[in-house]
Amino acid sequence: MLVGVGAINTALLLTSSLTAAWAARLAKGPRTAWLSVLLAATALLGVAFLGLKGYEYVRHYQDGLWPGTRFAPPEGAATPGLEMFFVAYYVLTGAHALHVTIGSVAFGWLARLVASRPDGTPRARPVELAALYWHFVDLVWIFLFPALYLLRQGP
Amino acid sequence: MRTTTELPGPPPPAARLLVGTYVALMALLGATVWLATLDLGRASPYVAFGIAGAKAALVIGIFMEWRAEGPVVRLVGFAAVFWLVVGAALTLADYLTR
Repeated sequence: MLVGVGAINTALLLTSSLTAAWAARLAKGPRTAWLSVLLAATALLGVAFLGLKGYEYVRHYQDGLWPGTRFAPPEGAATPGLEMFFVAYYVLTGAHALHVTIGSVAFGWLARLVASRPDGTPRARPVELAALYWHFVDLVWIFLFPALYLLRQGP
Repeated sequence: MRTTTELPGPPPPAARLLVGTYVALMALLGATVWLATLDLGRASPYVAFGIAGAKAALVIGIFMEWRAEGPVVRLVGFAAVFWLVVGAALTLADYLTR
């Protein structure tokens, strides 16, 4: 596994949780331009996470770590259950990435909505709900990272 | 038309608390990556998931504002995590007891 990439991705998600929590905090107070900035930052951090995840998938594919008839791990790296591990890996990280995608779209949409409405219409509740969703996606990754990257020996 | 964004419920966490939580989360991330490079033997999963649990507690407690909520919300949150753990334990029961 690319532990370094996984660690950077964890840092990206933790940072995005800070920006989301800060956005939820600002949304409850008086109007500020920073709210839109923080919402956009959260969306961009999610997109950056997806970019790195995609890079990892490409690397795995090049290394022959795509389960199925083309599964051909590097010489000496093949261990019992390796293909099964990668099936679980793609299902878990793929489902997680789908939810990061949904969250990034939601935060991008909220950023645009908040920026385009100067009248201070109610915005605390949607931001708060999006932040709760985003924190949960972060929570899932907090457990996926040690399970898939740190406790795994081999490629 | 509503012009206020005031919501019922607890006040949001202070800025310093949010930043402090973030610094602690990043420190825990550094710690778990470093500890994974050491040979801890059978303790490895306990260390890795123990740190993950600490990170989760910070995210739930501060970022998700669980700490500031009332008893009913806390109870529902606890029940959700409890059943999640039960589900995970049952899923892994066969693997863990072999």
